[in-house]
Amino acid sequence: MLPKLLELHFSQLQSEWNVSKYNSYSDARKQEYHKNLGIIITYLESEDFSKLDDTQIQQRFYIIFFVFKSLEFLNHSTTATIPFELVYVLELAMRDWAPEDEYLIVTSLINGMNEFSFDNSLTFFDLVYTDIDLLCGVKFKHRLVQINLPQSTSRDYLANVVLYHELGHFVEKKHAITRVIYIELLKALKAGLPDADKNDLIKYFPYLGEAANVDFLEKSYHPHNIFAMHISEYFCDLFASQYIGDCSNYYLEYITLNQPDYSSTHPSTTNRVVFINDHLGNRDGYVLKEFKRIIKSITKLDIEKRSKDFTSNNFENLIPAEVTDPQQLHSLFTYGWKVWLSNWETFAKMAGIEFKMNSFNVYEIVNNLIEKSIGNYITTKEWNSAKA
Amino acid sequence: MTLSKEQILRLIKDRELCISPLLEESQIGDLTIDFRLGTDFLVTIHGSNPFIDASLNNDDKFPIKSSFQETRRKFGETFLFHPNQTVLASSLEYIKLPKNVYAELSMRSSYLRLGLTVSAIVQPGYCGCISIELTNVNKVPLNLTVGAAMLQARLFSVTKDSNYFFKKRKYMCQVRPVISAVAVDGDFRNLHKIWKKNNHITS
Amino acid sequence: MLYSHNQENEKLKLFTIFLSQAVKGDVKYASVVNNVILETHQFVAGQKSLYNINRDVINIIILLSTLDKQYFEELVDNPQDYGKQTYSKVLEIINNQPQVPIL
Repeated sequence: MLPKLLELHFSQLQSEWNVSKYNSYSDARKQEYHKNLGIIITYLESEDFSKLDDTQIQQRFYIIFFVFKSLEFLNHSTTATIPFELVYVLELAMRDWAPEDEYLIVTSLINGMNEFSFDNSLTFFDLVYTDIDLLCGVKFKHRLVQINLPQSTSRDYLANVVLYHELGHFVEKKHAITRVIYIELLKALKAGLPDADKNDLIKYFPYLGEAANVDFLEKSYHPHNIFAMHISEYFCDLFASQYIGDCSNYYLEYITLNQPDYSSTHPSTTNRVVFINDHLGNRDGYVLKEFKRIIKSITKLDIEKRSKDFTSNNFENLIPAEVTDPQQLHSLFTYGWKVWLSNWETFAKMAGIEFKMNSFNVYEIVNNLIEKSIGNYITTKEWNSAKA
Repeated sequence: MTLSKEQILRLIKDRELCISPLLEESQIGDLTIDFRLGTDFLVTIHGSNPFIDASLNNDDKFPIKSSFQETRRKFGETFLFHPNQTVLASSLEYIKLPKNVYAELSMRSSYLRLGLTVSAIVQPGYCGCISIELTNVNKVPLNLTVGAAMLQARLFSVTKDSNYFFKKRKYMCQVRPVISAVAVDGDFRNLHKIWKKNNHITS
Repeated sequence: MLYSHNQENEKLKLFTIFLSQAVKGDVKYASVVNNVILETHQFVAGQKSLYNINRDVINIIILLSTLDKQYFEELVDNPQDYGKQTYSKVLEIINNQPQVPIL
């Protein structure tokens, strides 16, 4: 491998750093992270790449990639339109499953519609952090996680329920849940399952009905193979349902047009909806039971309802909901969906609205009130903590 | 008639007046209520448009929204306000006024002395955060804190109830400043027709 | 089995880089790879399970255990006894694995 290519890669990084090095962050943790990037770059500047062998060049490749990705994440976080209410509730959910204070969330508002994701490129890669520590003497106290959501719907809380599913991907990667479910289900299938259990398994993973596929999947694990991808998607739906019930089903059914067929990356929408409805209706079949058993064995946590309902008709009175318990924050989304799906004429009557509302009026009201309810909770909590 | 502190507190207790969040009851004075600066701002930007177009006579070539940029600050963070700058902001508090009460907003004197002005009337039955247009008439920049009690409102009762939602509203339960929807006013369509007729424009 | 381009593949590549450095005698890298090799031994020996091996490198551990179960079973429990020969062998095991097609 030519050192000149490493030089090229590093020059690209230096060009990017020249733009970013004067960034400043109000969050001291981000500022410290940024300072660490500077130390890495200074170290690399001091090296003579022409003296490096292939292995050493490859090692620096990963470090440069790390710095580039970090800058990408940090640069997005300096934008001034962060939906921090949304980030707050997602962070709350994240803390249930990753209580360590080591993740720094940043957000990126992107142009694509329906482009929701958590970018975990820098989160679950211990070796690169070790690499940086061993080579440059830099230890990172925090790891960056980026939430991607469409710019156009950044304040659309009805659509943004999808982010609970995306948070599920973060959790399953952290705990390597998919990998274990993958192995255990195939092992059980090959060992022989009672008919009812086998039928349940094949219902959710139809291709397991062919022995050749089972053999292949058992011998050839790949994180992007159909079985791994499908397991991951079912897990994320199950994960999200703890916080938002069946809300994500509504949006999912619409944006996939209730897809009856599976793809290489996602199970059929119909199956995903049944999976969640069975869970919420306490009708666990073999697959659901195995999922829950394995999740509990790995994480010591149950799949359970992690939101607190509250009885409120504040939205119908056009005022924010009063949230007193953080778990109620997740219920704001289900409340919002309940209003959206309700009879709007009844809603208008309760609200004292005399003109005929259109969908955009309801859309504005629901999303604004969800945002304000979350914002009020945060503000009040912070104010009272400061006074204490 | 100006509402007194006791009257205001009673309206809140009876859930006819909503102020949310009300971080301190001391915000309610004898005759006024203090309101805090909210988290969202709309600032004018010098883009490629030569002016902000409050008419329909340019075929929407210079949409109002392209002259404004949204920005946010968290509670406790600061916003730098330049001399002569006008910024659209909103109150931290979401309010819902009774149908027979309106509010007049003004700057608290400590901020008036810094060169900030504001003027707004909030109609009976209004729901939402209060939109405010702030202008820094000082010659130096001002660094304002989100959450600071900068504004005060006097509440007045009227004899006849007025339903804010009797007619269609441009702004519903707003929680942040919204770009002016002035061109949506029905009057503008009439004015545009008159202009076209006078100038013999047929398209 | 070599994965096609994805983060797990990158972890494996970086692990092989660490192994190469350990083969050269760099003790700092040796102590990092020792942990993975030891856990692989513990996994195949039944002392650890899928549920409690290191989550970050679980796929590397499972891969190694699948590629040469016997070798890792016969390894000693004490990482102090792992040396250049061990690291070279593990590197060889990884480099000789077949490509994985995707279903």
